[in-house]
Amino acid sequence: MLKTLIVEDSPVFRKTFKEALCKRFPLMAVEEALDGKEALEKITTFLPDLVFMDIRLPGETGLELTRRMKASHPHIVIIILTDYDLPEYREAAHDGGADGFIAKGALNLEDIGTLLESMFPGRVLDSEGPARKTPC
Amino acid sequence: MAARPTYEELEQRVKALEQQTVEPKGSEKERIQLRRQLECLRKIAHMVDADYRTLCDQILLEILDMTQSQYAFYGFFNEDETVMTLYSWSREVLEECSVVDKPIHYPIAKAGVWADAVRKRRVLIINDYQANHSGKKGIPEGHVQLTRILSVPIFSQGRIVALAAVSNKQSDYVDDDAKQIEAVVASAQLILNLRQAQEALQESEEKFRGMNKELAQGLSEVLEALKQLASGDPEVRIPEAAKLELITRLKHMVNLTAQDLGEIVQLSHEFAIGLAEHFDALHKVSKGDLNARVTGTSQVELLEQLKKVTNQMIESVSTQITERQRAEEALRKSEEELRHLSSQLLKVQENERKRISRELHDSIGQSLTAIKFGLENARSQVAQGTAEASVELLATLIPVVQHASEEVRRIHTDLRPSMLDDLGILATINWFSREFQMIYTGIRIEKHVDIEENDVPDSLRIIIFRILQEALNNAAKHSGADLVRLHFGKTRDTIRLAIRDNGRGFDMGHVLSMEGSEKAFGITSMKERTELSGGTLAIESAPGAGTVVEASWPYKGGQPLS
Repeated sequence: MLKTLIVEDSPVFRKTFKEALCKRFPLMAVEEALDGKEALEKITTFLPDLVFMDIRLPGETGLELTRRMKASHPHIVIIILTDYDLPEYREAAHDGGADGFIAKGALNLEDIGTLLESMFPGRVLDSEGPARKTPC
Repeated sequence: MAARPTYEELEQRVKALEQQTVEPKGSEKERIQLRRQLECLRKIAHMVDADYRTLCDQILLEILDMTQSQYAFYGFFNEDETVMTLYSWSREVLEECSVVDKPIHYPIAKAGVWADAVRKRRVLIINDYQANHSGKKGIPEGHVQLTRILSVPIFSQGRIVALAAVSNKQSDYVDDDAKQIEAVVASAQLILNLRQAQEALQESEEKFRGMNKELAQGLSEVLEALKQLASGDPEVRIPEAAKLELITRLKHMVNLTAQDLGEIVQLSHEFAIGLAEHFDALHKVSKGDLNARVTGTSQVELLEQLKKVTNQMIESVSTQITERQRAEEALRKSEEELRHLSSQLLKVQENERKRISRELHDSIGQSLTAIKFGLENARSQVAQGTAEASVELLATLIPVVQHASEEVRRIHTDLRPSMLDDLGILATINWFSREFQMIYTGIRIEKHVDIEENDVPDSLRIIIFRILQEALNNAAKHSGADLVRLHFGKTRDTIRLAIRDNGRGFDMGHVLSMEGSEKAFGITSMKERTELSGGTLAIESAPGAGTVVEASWPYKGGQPLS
């Protein structure tokens, strides 16, 4: 099981993205956080393996939150989500310690599966396991 | 003059003679002589209204008669007995002597032999005058011829006060003659002295009356002068004719007063003119003539001080008014600019709304309409059991959604680049410069950044971006430049953004005067943004010399001073 935390302030995007992930990756347990504070709580209670981090958040930005999370939990994989696929954003994500970068406009479940499989081999695409225990 | 005799003395003398006459002690001759003396004195004493000279003449007649002489004279001495003044001569002398009209003052030192009586201080008797006597000076031409002389000095309190001389008696003069003369003249002298004193008093009274008259006249002139002074005439003067000491003093005082008054009037006149000039200057100033000054050459010290103070006040007021006028002019201009800016802002805002509305309608609106139409169509197809067709239809909708999504990002970025908030000003400058060069391929940007992201206050980021955006857009639209040098950095106390192009430049005054000009609005907008954030904006440009836009803000420890 791959524990995934979505940090996103837009409820529509959060809900849609979570449903898509749950449907596509049955072994994935998905939790949500709408801002940095909730995200940090989930880090300690949910203990996620993977975080999809939106850059623009209320209060602390996704990049700043990434830096803090990586400082306290370096093993957590953090993938930056942003509306803009621009070099400055990629560079900023990299400098902040993020492990991946996905432009929202190019969000594609197939590409995400490929990416996650490379990061978490055997823990993402096994649809026959007891994945249905997750909140999804 | 001898001591003034009193009537008491005279009465005593007369009483003494009467006693000797009533109670005769000597011979018959002596009684006759005493009676003769008494008659003489009574005669003289009764000449109450006679003047001094008449009395002298009477005495002269008496002694001529007493001594049976042909000629006589009778004179008086000064204090030191050096000069004798003749008052009276015998008629014979008057008739026969041609020198009597000459000044009859005889210096004793030069006088003839008759003066020996004075020099020797005793009676002189010469019965042989024609003989050669020492002391004879000779007879002046025209003088009567003398044969015998009797010269009798009259003493009073040890001093010779008078001299009586007779001459040309038919027989020799004897001591009795001298005694007779001496007795009469000594007694008569008292009367003469009294008369002389009376005449001196009368003369003094006349002189006093004259003085009073002169004094009255002088006082009248003084009063007249004072009256004129009181009326304010500084030219008044007392005539020099006033000789009396009192009048002279008064004249001096009045003339001095007139002089003082003249000076006072002159100073007052000068002061009045000076004051008039002050009021004139102040009036001009009150009417707005700030160049008005007091320039008079008054010697009045108070006026000089007043002049200084007035001019200082005028200068102060001028400065204040000028500063206020400048401030009002600046305020008016600022208000005009503000009104213009507000108007432009409203116009820009309306245009922006219009643009956004059009873009939302043309791109996103049309895309969403298309997507809705496609989805409804797909649902219809699914309902009809043609799932394959619906999958194809849905696939065609994906690029439409993608396009709409990109349009939203573009519009969003145009309104305010998210990168500014997500990544900061340095990343945004980097991105914007790259995008700019992609659009305006003929313009190269040389970028030099010498500042850390954290050195830039949050509030300044959008300001800096807008100035950069406006300056680069102006360079692209108007300058014809092919190179823009961009510098963004900080010194110890200043954050500075400079954009310099090598374009054609422009006339700043001309551009700013073009009402409604987009470029002028852009420049004003940059200036407003900079100044509102506590900075200053300078634009240097001239035709053919390119343009430099430089904005700077005070900086201290990571926070703008504003």
